[in-house]
Amino acid sequence: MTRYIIRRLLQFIPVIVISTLLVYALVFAMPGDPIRALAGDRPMSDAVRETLREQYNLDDPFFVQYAKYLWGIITAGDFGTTFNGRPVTELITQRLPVTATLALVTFVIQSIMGIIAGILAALYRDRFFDRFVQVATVTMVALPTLVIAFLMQLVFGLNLGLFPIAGINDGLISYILPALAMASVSTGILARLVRSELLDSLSSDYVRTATAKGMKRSRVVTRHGLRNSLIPAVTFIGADLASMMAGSIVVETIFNLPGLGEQVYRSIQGQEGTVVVGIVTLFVIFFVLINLIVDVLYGLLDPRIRYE
Amino acid sequence: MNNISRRRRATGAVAVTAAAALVLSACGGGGDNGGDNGEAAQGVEGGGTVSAYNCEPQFLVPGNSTEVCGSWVLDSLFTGLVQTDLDTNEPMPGVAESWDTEDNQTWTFTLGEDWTFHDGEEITAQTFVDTYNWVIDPDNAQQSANFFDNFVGYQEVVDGDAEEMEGVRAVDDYTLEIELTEPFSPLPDMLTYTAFYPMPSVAYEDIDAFEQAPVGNGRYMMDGEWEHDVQIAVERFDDWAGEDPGLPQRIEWRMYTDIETAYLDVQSGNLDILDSAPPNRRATVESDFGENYADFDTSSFTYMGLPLYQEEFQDVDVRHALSMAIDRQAIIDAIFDGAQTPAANIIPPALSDAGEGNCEYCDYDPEAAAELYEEAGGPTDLTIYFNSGAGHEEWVEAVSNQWQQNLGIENVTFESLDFAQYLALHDEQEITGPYRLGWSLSYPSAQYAMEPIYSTGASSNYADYSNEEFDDLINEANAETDPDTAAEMYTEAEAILLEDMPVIPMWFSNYLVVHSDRVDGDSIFMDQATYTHLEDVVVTEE
Repeated sequence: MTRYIIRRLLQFIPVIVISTLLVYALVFAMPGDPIRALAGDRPMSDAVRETLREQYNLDDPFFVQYAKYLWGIITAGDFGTTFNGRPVTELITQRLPVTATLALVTFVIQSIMGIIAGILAALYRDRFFDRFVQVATVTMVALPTLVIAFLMQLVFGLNLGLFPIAGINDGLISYILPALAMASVSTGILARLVRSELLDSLSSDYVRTATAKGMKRSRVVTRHGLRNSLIPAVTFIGADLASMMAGSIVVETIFNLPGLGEQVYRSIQGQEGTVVVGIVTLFVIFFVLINLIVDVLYGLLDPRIRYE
Repeated sequence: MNNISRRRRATGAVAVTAAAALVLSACGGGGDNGGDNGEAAQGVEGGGTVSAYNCEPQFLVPGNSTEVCGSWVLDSLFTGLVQTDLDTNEPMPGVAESWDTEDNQTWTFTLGEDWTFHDGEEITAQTFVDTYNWVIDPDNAQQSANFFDNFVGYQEVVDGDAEEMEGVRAVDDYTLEIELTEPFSPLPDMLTYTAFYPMPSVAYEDIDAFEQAPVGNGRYMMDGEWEHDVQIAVERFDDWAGEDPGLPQRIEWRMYTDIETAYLDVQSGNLDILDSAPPNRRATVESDFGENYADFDTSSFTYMGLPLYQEEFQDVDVRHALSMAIDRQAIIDAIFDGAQTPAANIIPPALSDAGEGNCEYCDYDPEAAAELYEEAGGPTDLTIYFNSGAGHEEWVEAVSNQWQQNLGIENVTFESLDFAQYLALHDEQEITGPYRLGWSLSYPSAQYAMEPIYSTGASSNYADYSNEEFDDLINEANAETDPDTAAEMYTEAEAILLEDMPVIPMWFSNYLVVHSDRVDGDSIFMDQATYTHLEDVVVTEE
């Protein structure tokens, strides 16, 4: 198991190098001069422009720029600065907690709601609650996050005044609406997934055997049914958590949360190569880490899965 | 004394008297909704706190701030040599009590003696000398450096041949002399601009640290640091040496990425002022806000430029025809819900002495346009350029539809590009058809509305327009010592532009300002440069 984890961790290195190079190349390939765009309609004097281009190594060929960037990271832990002179590391450390909190609250909401709804729907198959879950989840999956976010703002924020509409000034409560909006689609998918998996395993031979032997219903469901049907759910939740970073772009912008997702969007527009690479690298690391954790969790849920 | 100052005085008192209420309602400052005319607006004790929408500034150093988000904040933190009288758009004393010139080329400014920065450092003539030299030093890469390009000695410093500009001198502690390369009558107007604010010595020690909490000499001082993407908070500076201190005790700028969100936040009462409500909300603003909104005309000018370096656009008749074939009002009504004023000027109407538009070819006349276009042999294929993602798609398309309908243009291609890429095309003169651009005034002067865009070889002259008569008129007006004569000359120069039409004037923007119940709507004022003057806002509830 330890050897397996170490080997997986070592695989991170090429993944990270390749992905940062790719992202850096993509930002680099964007046409136009980012320094020129900084000044907007108003022209900037040549002297100022030259100083800035030099400061950001913009006149160097692509590989020299990338090499200088990597060299800065390796030798000084310097992830560069934005075109307004803010260190990227500072930007990330300031924004990471916001996105992390959003992801965590979303994760908790969708796991609890999705799994419980799925289990109850399976246990009360074809009854009212099951039908309700079916309809509700289809709606949740079909509605784009954008629409749900606006609805949440209008109904719970503006009309009912239960939650703040924007910003993070009210602490954890500020995250409830954005997290609900972000959790919506996944909660729907997760509930349906758990329901069908649980129904599958409840109708399988070993469950029938256990029931025939007189095992209590609750024990049959938890020991035999749930445990097996949770593996796909964990895979899904893991993949979803990893992709949540990307999903945060829309939600953070609408709810005005100063997180990483919103920053990535803005930095791509401003051709802030170093910022985009810094944050995307973080996303990549997060993604592979989550995948590793999911793989390890398999073994805990099903001892038959071995690590080579 | 002007209205704005009187208003500040009157409402500065804890309880507003009935007399002051009359003043208040008498100068609604361009707001066109009735509000609560005649009722006394009761300001809270001490002035209270006002919060306002803002976008995240790029920079918070005066010499480096070229966009509205940052300049707006700096406006409260700093006071320049000269300020703008908000009623007349004329220059009025700031740190300088008075100024004098005989030839518009050498100017003497007499500074007030009790000005200090928020940290107590005294402001003298040397303060300005140091600041100006620092701003233009290429090593400091300040974006507004080129605002100084008509100061004697600017080029030498930029080229590295001199340490300091010869043209900025401290004669004694409170006398500053500025010498220009050419006579320039709008100098006092120009000095109101952000780039010319003074900076304390602490700024040069660590400019990055300074930027996080600028120490200025304005009505307000920083409360804590700039919380990036969250907020910037300032408190009233009680030792401010100017005449009209700010009314609110505290101003909080809250940064939003999405204006729609800010709009909802004002509606729910969490935010007090949003000064740029989305145009598409205009239809519902009354049901959303009742009387809590107002409209302001601004100097923000949108035009369709024509690349005169392309052969097809060199015939003036083609340009006239293109202009006459546009029904501006119809586009404004259909796409902007009426939220723009059709332009029949180049100089924003609020500055123009003529006041009314004198653009013969800005009136919609499709028949005459078609005839003229055909006679002149205008192009049947057009490529139209605009920058993407900034809300220009719809109206540019509408303009092209009208050209197709009215002028028999067969093919229209759109080139929509990223702003950075868009500007690069302009720099390299690779634009082959009409293009969208805009201009707003950094300082209120007819000179600034024209010279940078239309003078031969000027920095923003993307049309590559050149007319000797126009250039001469601008130069003469800049040199003219009598302001009225100068104003006439600028208007004459404008007439040349409207006749030559290197750009097709489209409209001047209106801004829709919405506010919460916590502030008095009649005290909200937006100036021509789209700055909302939060220092004048009367907060009615804590």
